[in-house]
Amino acid sequence: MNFIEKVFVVAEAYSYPLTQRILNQLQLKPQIVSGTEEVRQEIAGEEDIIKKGKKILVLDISKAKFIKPCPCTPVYLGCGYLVINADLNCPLDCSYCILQSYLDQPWLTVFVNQDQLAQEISYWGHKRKGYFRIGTGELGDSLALDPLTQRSRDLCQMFFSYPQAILELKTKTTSIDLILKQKCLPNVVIAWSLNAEEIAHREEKGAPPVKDRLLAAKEVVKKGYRVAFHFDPLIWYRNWEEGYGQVVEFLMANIPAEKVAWISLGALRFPPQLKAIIKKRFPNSLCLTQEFIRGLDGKYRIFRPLRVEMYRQVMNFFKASKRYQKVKFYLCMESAEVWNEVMGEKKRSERGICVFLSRPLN
Amino acid sequence: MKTINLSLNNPAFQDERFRFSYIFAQDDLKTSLLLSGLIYPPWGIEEKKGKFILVSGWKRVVVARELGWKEIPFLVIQETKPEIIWVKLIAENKAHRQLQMVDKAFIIKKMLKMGISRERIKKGICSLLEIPPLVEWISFYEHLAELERETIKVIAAKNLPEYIVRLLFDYAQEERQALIPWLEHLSQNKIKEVLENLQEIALRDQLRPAQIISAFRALEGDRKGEKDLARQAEKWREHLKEKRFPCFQATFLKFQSLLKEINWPPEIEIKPSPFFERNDLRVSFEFTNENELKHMASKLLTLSQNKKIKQLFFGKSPKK
Ligand code: SF4
Repeated sequence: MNFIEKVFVVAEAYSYPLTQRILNQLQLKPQIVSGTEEVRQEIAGEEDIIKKGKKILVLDISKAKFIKPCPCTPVYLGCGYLVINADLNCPLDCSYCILQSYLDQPWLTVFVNQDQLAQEISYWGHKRKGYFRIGTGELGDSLALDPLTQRSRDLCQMFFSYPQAILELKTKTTSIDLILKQKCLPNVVIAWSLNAEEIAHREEKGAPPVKDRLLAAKEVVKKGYRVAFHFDPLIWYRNWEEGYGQVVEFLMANIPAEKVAWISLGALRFPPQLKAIIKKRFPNSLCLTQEFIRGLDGKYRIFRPLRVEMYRQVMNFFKASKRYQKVKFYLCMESAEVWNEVMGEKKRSERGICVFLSRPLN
Repeated sequence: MKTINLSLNNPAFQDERFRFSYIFAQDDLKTSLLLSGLIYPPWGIEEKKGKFILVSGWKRVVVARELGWKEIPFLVIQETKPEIIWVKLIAENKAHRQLQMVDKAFIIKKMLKMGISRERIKKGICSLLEIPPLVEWISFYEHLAELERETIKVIAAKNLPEYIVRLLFDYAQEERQALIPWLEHLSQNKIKEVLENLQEIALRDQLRPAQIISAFRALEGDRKGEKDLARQAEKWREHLKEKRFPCFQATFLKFQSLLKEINWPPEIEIKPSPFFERNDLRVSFEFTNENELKHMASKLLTLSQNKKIKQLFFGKSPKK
């Protein structure tokens, strides 16, 4: 974790065990502050606040609820996912990352009041009778800070008693040491965001090559875990078919279909305010060259026939394998029309998608 | 402070150290000087004995020269520190007009040239100029002042915002020079659209913008004589839109030509969902009595029986 240059601890958070664990690991003298305003002052005046923020760690108490239903996006079909906002922001630096415009606090925040988190998990664990999916990868990468926080281990312990809650830890990293060290739980799914290698290289700064991510997935599978993959965001570029095809091929050659909990596809989309940030921070990003339209939710989305073409093609790559035909696929933040175009006509609802994805495979 | 009369040929009016307004409309000022004379004399400093430098009043001096005046009153102030002179000059200008982006650019350029450090500008001048106190912003204005005159003219005339100016920075000088005659004829929004589309096409197709401009010129070659720059600018904009959004443009054109093929009546308006994002189509028509309603309904019924109508519906499920 030598990318962290400075660590701030909000006074209230100091005595928590997680704070102490992190400080012991870091070997950096923390600055105790009364609130995050002092952190804001620290980065004020920086030319690239977002870049600077990724080097600053703040240990704080979450005053809001940790667990919320995934906001998805208005008008399009959701999947009934629950999100855990335990860590905010991410040390990686993807050009298309929505957090650049979404978070008003550009630093890395780790919420240390895990007692409250455990209570909320218990609440949802008792409230939801059927299977449901829940994950931490919404406002950050689930494993990027794991060597420091060991959050994955704590979460697995908290979910141990709720086997119907399927915990998804979603990452672009290869930080799996802790995962490999602990006892594998059947309701924990380790997921990787994947892309064509060229896109990963160009757009996902700080993230390892896609092949390395898949090799990490292979290790995790060996340990007994189920894995999931998110081809998100799919980006249209000159050799996209070849690029995505190669990744699918490598994936299928290394990961047995039976161990894949689900695969999602999502084409690049982002709110308009992100464009200026991408342009400034990543002027050569391919995200700026997509054939965008304004979607029903006001976000930029790739023109529908092109999205459909990419979804169908990636699905076709998978369909080449009989075993992979049985894997559950879903589209992230898409309309019922696009679902029908890609997956065939059917009446679809958020509830239906939720049940379909949460139901255990084996 | 003293007032003296100075010949307009005095070297004070050649030293442009403090000049920052180069682009301005002269007509109103001319009329005012003719009607009322010079109410507020230009002011400056005495650098050495008898060596004056004009600080404020460049527009008045330029117009007075145009009017053929030989001499004007000149107020000499007792100040020699450049930074303080600049503060006075900026404050005075701000009291009677809003400083344009181009003005700020020349102010910063001249201050830097005088050896006032970026740090001093950041601390003492940025807030006066109402710009963020960041080195990056100082560089932005410095860059703007370095642009070629024609581009600066368009920026000033169209009052282009920072975002568009930054887009202009991304182009090479020859490219900007090729674009400016068209941009002059477009609105702010259209300028933004053209500059973004051109840049994004270049990035996507791995071309230089200059190559795309040349290809368009070659395409338009047979109409080279076309003098109407406004029309050319619109064509250029359309051309870029087609190149930037080929799939959308093709889908839209196909939709239009299909309507023609099936003789869709103009009195019944048909609209796809925005950007074909949904499958639904919307038709609307007007009627004032039941006969008209029946007439329209029967037209729609006939249309619905046309075999080609199916092609209007967007989005097909995959073959099983
Ligand atoms: S890994 Fe995810 S959270 Fe991190 S920068 Fe990339 S898109 Fe953002």
